[in-house]
Order: sequence, then C-alpha cells, then structure tokens
Amino acid sequence: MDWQQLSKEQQTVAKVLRHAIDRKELAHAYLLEGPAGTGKHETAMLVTQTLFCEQPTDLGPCLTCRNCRRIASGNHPDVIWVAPEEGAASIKKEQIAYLMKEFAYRGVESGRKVFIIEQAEKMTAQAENSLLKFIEEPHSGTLALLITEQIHQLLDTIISRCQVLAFVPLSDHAISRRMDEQGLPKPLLKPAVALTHDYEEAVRLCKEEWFAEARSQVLQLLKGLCESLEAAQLYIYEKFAPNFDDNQKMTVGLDLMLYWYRDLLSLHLNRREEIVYEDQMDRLKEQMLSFSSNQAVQAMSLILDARKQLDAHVNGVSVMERLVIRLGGTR
Amino acid sequence: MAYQALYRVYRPQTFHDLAGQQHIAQTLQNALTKQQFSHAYLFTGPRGTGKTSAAKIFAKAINCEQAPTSEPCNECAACRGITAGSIADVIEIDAASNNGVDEIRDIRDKVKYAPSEVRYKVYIIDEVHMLSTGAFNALLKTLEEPPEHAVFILATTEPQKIPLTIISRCQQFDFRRIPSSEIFQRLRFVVQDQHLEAEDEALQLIAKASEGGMRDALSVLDQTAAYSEAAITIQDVLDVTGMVADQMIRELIELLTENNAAAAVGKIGALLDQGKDPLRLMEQMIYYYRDLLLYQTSPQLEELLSRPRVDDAFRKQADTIALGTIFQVINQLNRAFLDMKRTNHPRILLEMAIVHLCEQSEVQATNIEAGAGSNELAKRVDALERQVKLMSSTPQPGVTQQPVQQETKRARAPRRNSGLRIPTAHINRVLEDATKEDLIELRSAWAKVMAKIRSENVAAHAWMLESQPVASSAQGFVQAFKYDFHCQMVMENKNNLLGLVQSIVQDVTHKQKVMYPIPEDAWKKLKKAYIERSKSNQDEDSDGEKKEEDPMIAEAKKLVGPDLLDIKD
Repeated sequence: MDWQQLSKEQQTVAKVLRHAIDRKELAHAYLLEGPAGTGKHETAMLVTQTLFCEQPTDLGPCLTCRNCRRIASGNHPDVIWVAPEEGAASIKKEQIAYLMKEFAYRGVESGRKVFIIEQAEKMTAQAENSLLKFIEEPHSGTLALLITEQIHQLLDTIISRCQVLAFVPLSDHAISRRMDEQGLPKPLLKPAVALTHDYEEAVRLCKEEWFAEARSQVLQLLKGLCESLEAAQLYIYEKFAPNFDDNQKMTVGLDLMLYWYRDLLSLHLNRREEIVYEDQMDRLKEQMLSFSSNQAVQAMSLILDARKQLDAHVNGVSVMERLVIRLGGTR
Repeated sequence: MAYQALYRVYRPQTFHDLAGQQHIAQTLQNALTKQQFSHAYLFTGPRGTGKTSAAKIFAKAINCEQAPTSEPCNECAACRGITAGSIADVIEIDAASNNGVDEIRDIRDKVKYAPSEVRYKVYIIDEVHMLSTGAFNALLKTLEEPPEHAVFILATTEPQKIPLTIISRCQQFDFRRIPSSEIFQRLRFVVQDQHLEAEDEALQLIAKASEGGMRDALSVLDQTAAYSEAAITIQDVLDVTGMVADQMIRELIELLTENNAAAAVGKIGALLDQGKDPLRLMEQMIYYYRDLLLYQTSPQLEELLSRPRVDDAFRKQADTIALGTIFQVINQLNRAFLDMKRTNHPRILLEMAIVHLCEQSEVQATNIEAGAGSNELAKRVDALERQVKLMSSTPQPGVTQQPVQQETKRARAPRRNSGLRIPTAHINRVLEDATKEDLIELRSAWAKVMAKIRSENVAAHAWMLESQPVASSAQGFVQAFKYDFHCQMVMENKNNLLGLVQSIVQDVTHKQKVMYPIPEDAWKKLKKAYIERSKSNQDEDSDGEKKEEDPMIAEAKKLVGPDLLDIKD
C-alpha cells in the first residue's frame, strides 16, 4: 500500500497522517479503529516504513532499503509488534511490561521507536491500565500505534490519550463492484457482500458451494412460507435442517432471510439499488402486494430475535421452527 | 525536540489554569496558604478533567521555594525540577503496572527517609484503582499516619473500586466534567497560542463533542489541525470525528415528523454510504430529540443543550413536535440503539427503527381522528361527495356508459365472461395521465389496502385477491384481474364493492381514486394498443428524430417507469 492508495480508500486518515508526517507533528499515540479489511495493518506498516525509510519518495517508502525490508519482515530492532500470543485469547500484562522495559531505552539505530499493538481490544484490564501511564507521556521519539476493530471495548482513558483514526468500511456497493469485476456469480455476490460487508470474506463465501445451496434453500423456504405454513415446516425438517447443521450456518441462513424481508422493505420505500436478491424481482414485487412495510419490519425483528436466541446457544432447528411459525403469523 | 501532543504542551501548570475545577482549586489553595494541607488526598473524576495535573501542581506548590504560597512559581529550581520529573522526592507511581504488595512495601520502607532535595516527599499514585487488595491493605497503615514529610496523592477514574478504608483516610476531591464553555475558552487560547486559525463554531463543536474531557478536546483539535489545510472549519471537525452535520440531522428529523419513511431511509442510506457510523448517527439523533425536549420544557437552559447554538430552524422544530411524541421517539430510538450495539447489522436495525417510527405515528394520527368520533361520518360524506362528483364531472360518455354497462351486465350474465364490457375510454384516460410515482405509491400501499378490505368484507377480499394495480394516475387506477370471473364480480359492483375499495384506498393513501377493473389478458392487449397508438402519435410529432430505444419499451417506460419494467426477449 502507498499513500496514494490510502488516500483513495481512507481519505481522512491519509490526510491526517500525511500532514502530520510532513509537518513533523506526529502525535505520540494513534488509535487505528475500524472494521476488518479496511487496511489498518497496512497503514501502520506504511507509517512506520515512511518514518524509517532511507530514501522515502512522495508516494511512500521505497520498500527496498534495509530498513523497509526489515520492518516488513518484523526484524527491525526499533519497531516492536505486539499481538495476542499464539493460542492466547488476550494480550497479557507481561507483554506490555516487556514493551515498557524495551521503551525505557533509546532507539538502537535511530532516535525513534515505534510500537504497534494489534487487536488492542484483546488486552487484559491489567495490561490496558499499565499502558495508560506509558502512553500518556512516553519519551520523545516514541510512536504508539494501536489497532482495534472494537473501539468500544477499550478503556475510555486509553482512547482519550490517543488520536483516534477511524477507518471507514468500504461501502457495499464498492465491494460488489469490485467483486463483479472478478466475474463472480451475480446472484450470489450481493447477498455475500450484504452478509459480510467485507471483500475477502464475501469472495470466500461466493466461492463456497454450500453458500449457493443455502441461498436457494432459503428462497425455497420463503416461497413455501408464502404458500402454507405446514409445507414450510416440513421443508425445515426434510431439507433445511440437514444442510444448516450447525449454529454458524444457521446464522447465515437467518441473515439470508433477513435480507429477503429487507428487500421487501426497500421495495416499499422505492430504493431499488439496495435490493439484494435482484434476480428474484418478480417474486419480490408479487409479495409486496400482500405484505405491507410494517409487516416487513415485524418479520425482520422476529428474525433478529431468532438470531439473539441462536447467539444464546439455543438449538438451531428449534429456533428456525419457532421463527417460521411466528413468521407465518405475521401474514 | 520532537513534536508534542497539544494536551501535553498545554498541561496546566498553575491552579489558575485548571479549567472548570474552581471548587477544588479554591480548597487546595486555601489549605496551602494556611499551611493546613492534609497528608493524603484522593482525586477522583472522569478522564481528562485534570486529576494528575492537579496532583503535580500541588506537589510543586508545597515544595516551591516561595512557599507558603497559593500558586507554584514555576521558576524556582524545585518547580522546574518537578515539572521535568528530575526530582527524586516527587515520585509518580503507575499503580496499574506496580500493583503488587511488594511495590507498596517498597514505598512503605522508603517513606520514612527524609526528602533529599525539597521539603516534602510527594507520592502521586495514579490509576490507584488497579492496586490489588493486598496492596491496598499494605498501604493502609502508611496512609493513616505517614511521617511528617510525606504527602500521598491518589488519583483514579474509578472511585467505586477503592476500599472504604482507603477513602476514609484521605480527603476526597471529586473532579467534575469540564463545562463546554470552559473547554471552548481553553481551546481558543490554545489556537491563538499556536498561531492556528479556527472558526469559533468549529471549536464549540469540539468542546461539545468531547463530553467534558479536556484531553479529548485537545486531541481532537490536534488531529483537526493536522487534517485541515488552512483554517479549521466545522467541516474539518465533522470529518475527523465522523459526526454528521447538524443540518443533516435536522432534515432527517423533519422527514420523520412528516412520516416520510422512504425519504428518511434514503437519506440515512446516503449518509452511511459516505462512511458514517450508524451507531454514531443514531446517537446524534437521540441527542437531537433530547435537545428538542430540553428546549421545550426549559428554554432558558441553553447551556445544557448538546448543540453549539440554537437557531430559528431548531426553535421552529421544537414548537411543532409534541412533547409526548418526543418521549416516545427517544424511548424507541434508545431501545434500537442498544440493540444496534449488539448486532452486526446495525444498519438494518436503524432502517427498521425509522420505518417503525413513521408507521407508528401514522397509526396514531388515524387513531386520534377516530377518537374524535366523526371519522365514520366523514367517510360516508366523502363517499357521497365522490359519487356526486363522479356523476357531475364525468363527461357524457361516462354517464351514458354506466346504465349501458349495467344493462349489458344483466344481459350478459348467462353468457359467462365472454362479453365483459371494459371501460376502455376511462382506462385510456388513466393511461394518459399515468405516472410511475403514483403506481409505486399505490403498489406499496396495496398490502395495507388488502388487509383493510379483509377486515371489512371477507368476500370482497377474496374477489380482489388475485388482482393487482397495474397503472395509476392521480385520479384513477387500473386493476388487472387474473381471472375474468373475479373481474366480472367486481364490475357488477355487488355490495358496492367498488365503493368499498375506493374508500379504503382513499383512507390509506389519502388520495381519491377511481378503480377500473379489467381482466389481465385484456389489459395486455389494451396496453399494447395504447403503446402503439401513442408511438404512432409520437412518430408524427417527431418525424426525423432518431430513436435509439425500442419505441414499445420507451412507451412502456413512460407508462410504468423503468424500474418496474423487466425487458425480456
């Protein structure tokens, strides 16, 4: 990634960082926050390399000098990456203690030292608190980059000590356009993007055979639901349940259903560009005539309820069964 | 020297600089001048309100060469040494990293030695809530009766985690959130001092957004200064903080009060596509309603509002929305907000909340009408009026057609459906005025219409079930029936079926429309004929003009709109 690409994808972030580096006004701590797949890690790498590069250009670091290569491979003595240890669920206090010890010394090769904490929300409460004093007033030449997907899980006191750089997620339209260029199957593409809001995840889903199957089964179920409740229930036992055999898959199934009703709502609100099941337009239009927008909202909240139950480890088939019966009642 | 964040550069160095904490500054200063300060203090309060700063200032003031004094001079060796952190007698301990019994024992052992450079040994224990129970208890005895020359200052954001035995041995000072006006003053001072340029309103926005934390405010200012090209504008602040402009929120709420769900959801979609956070947007909406509520109940408390200033548009809005509605809306949005935090489809929940709000208030509005009691009556009068109007306003063919139609119906009855008389002239007139918007609106409302029909007349619902509106103008709409038989039943107007449907359509859409039933295959023929006819008309009109599109498609587009059209070869 270079600066040009960054400013295309994350305009605000790029502008803040670029200006700060150019004016040599880099703050001592930044919090890089945003959903997965928005380039936080790459940005951290870019900033660090730009700082250490021997021959930086306007576009970014050269990527070929000693420093750039060592940073990329994680071997630079003045750049320290901290992440949850392999297999561990959290960043422990010892890791932060090590970091602080390391940063009590000046840089080995230059006046600067950079540390990068990935998945910062995984820090234990002790780790976070020990970091507090440290990132409030570090030695000069220190730069802290904290990366997180869940800013709300960090302590208020940590956040207020950092400059928060919010990474905006790519819009669903942008992702689907990118996927469309890849030539992925169109009917699958939009649901996949709507479910994941993430390019790589969506591509993975699209390529999975199971997902295509899941989609058509959900559509089948919804069709059955329009016709008769009994048929839909039978369908759950015979076809649906064997295919959606764990809670993870059932979640996907529920989300797919959710987007069907959202499509109905979008149709009611005359927002056709939002519709996910584009190839099912005829059926959607037909159902719209007998399904008011209020009913659609109701159906959606039922599905979200079901998802909550699923998250609370209720048996997937039971959740589905209950949902279908309740959905049958909204008609 | 490397660049320092603004909040570090502008750390207050005297009690006078300590913004928003006069009650604390005053007490401490009096204690200092009277030389009656205590040996242990506990500073509590939210982030960025000046706890650590106050502790440092206090340490300087008691050790200043000018002491007893109410302010540190910041010039003598002691003051400068403490500011730079080079004096070993003022010890700043990070309790989060040194939270064990051993570290506290270390303090206990060393506290009895007299200070080497200054008069008092000051222990500043920051983040004290992170001490372990053992450590707290080890500290108790020392804290109760430390040697003459020792002062402890404990600072924390979470006083509820401190054992009561500790609290009772300290003088506790509660730091308040700093009022936004004081943050604003300070920001303005910083901006001037740094030779930055900034709009006052931008600073006010920062002050409001930082919720009483000076450090947050200065961080945002720092970031905005880095972001902006020249002067700091409101737009820069909005971009950096990811907030939505007040203007947008106001428009959104206006749409909500008009119950215009489609436009409101559209607006939200546009905002979210720009990368705004749905949670943040929801929060801002809730705050806007809160402001409306506060303003309505106590207009003199403008200071409490979350917006920088009250303008006319806001005032007008506050006057139009009823108090009860605001309560209800805040309640609902709040519930949705909580749900949004826990799901990975916050956007959908936001849309649902909006639609729900619009639908609900619509229902309420009609309920209120019904409550007035005149609703039924008004409906009947309406229906009557409509009939009268229909009779008088429809031109000759219409009037003559009706009796004819009835005659033919009677005659036709045994012949089943072959001779279904279709009011072609009327339908053509509808087609001429038909617009896409009318049709979309009607189709969207159709489910509600059907539900109402069912509740009033089950048989009618059965007749209407296999039909749908296919074209609509402002005055009438064409209803295509799948089976001729149904169409015939409706046309015969048994039990005033037409009237029922029309009055219900009026109830739902608030528009008076006449229904023209037609069988589906007849509709197809009619449509084709109409399209061809107007095509030839158009050809005459625009002779030499090049046509790129299939004229039939073009006409169909004009008729029903490109969105509703599926072109199949």
